Amino acid sequence: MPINYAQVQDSLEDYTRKVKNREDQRDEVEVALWQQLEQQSENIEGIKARLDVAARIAKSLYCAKPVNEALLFHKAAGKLPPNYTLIAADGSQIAPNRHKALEYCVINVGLISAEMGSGKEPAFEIQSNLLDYDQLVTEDGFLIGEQQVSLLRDLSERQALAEFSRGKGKPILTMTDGLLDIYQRLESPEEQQKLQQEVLSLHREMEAQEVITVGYIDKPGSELIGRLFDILGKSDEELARYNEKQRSIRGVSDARLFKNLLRQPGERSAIFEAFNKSRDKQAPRLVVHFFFLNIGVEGAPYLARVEFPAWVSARPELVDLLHAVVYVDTQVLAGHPYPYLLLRAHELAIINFAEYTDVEAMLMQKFEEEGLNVGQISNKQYGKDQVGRRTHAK
Amino acid sequence: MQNDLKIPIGKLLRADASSFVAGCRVHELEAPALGALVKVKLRDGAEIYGLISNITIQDDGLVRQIASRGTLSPEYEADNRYNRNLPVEIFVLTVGFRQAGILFQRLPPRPPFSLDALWLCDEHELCDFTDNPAYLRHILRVQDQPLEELLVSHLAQAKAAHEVMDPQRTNAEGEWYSKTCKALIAYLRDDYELMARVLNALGELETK
Repeated sequence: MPINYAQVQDSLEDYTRKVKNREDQRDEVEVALWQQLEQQSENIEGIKARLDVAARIAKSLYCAKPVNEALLFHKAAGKLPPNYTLIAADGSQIAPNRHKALEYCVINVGLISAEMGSGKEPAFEIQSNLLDYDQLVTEDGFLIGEQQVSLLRDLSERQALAEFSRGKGKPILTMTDGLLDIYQRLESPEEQQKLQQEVLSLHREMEAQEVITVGYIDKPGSELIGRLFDILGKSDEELARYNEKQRSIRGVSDARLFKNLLRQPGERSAIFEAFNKSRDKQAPRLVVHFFFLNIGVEGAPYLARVEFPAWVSARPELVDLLHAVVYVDTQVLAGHPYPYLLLRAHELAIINFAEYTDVEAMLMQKFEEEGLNVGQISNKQYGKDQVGRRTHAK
Repeated sequence: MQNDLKIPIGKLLRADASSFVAGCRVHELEAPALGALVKVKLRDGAEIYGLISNITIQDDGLVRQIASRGTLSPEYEADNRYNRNLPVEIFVLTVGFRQAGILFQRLPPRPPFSLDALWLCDEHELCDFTDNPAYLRHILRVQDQPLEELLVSHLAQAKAAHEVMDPQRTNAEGEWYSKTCKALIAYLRDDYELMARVLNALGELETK
């Protein structure tokens, strides 16, 4: 049945009124936050010292921490080197589904590597991994969920990048979409730690080869600067019972705030650390730094967050390099800037419906050859498939 | 040119009794030209001949987005040309077939199958096939594009091939070409308008 448009129409007025009220509140918070940014811009050491104290008192913290540039520092993109290698990876998956006839999981990673300055077409590769059957089921006997599949996909992307970057011409930059580190939670703390360790060791391997790993976040909704000033405004007593869900400064994204600062296309913000003290005791994890980058046009800034490992910040020439490379790569796509190579990696990785059915047919054929029982699609799934043929969302 | 002749230039996508369409990658597109004689080898040993009547290069959203940008690095230009699966389609007009070593200039008993390979014919084969101008009647039934342009492209290649294959000029110079032109005039004797257009287009070959 079609949507009840009349019912939606009746709700529009109330809905937009609430949006306007929320926007007015956000404007007020933004003004106050901007004032604090201006006042504290040069107080880098003071902020860092206070955050270190806060981290000792509070059970968990997550905010931006300045590294060594003033809060309102901004810088234009520099020139590109004549030669460099840019590699991008992106993944997609067929997640296991108990309603389907077969339970299986495929992780697909698209890799593309451009030797810029060579004039040659980029090299590309697709790695398709039918997940080991033993990995399909959790310790409790349930099929792994989408979160775990996403984690395995992210890990596969990073493993593929480490492998693909070996032997390429330096300097080498790699790019993935989204956060550089892996933050999703697993039910098993041991599994989580193991995964975190694996990601860390992959990053260390790439660091040893001076491969700059970049995480690109489009349209970031994070409020890391707001969180920072929320924490700075707390007394020691308040920090002891700090609950980030009850922040007094909220609703203003970093991108919204820094649009006031990064007005010129290609400008980056100061470098910050993604300061993270988790409630859980964990193995050492990747220290992530980031800056905001204006990839928009004159008069219409559009901000992305660019993450990279902390070791890069100690080498200003590498920061300049990644700043220029990421900015230029986003500018290939007119109108809707986004890193070209990341989009290509996505294009390589994506599994379309025909491929999905082909993989399922391959599995079914093998099951039959081996005399294995091919399961039955659930009645619910069958019904959804029939109805779903004329719907957009399932 | 010789190197190109042994290269399959695409694979068949679809076919009917009088034409077929092959898909190819952009770097495979450097060999074939409008009007070129191509063939498909069937599994039973038969070969179906055709002339390239059109080549289309499709776009997609990404190409459009890139195209509206001023300059593009050569690496990304090459990526779009050679790596991406941009649909390049070669339309072929069927003009004859060879079965059991005998050449026929009529339509084959059945069209080729999808995924059969499309090959470019070499000069020897081009001369062999075009020796009899009867196949020209197939070109004259083309309706959805300017057939005089297809004719002039094809005859330019065939004329050059005949001249190369007969360097000693054992035939009187221009014999094949004049024979072909006479055949064309005979086919078009009832359509003066088209004949005028064809002869006007072929005038370009006379001056070269």
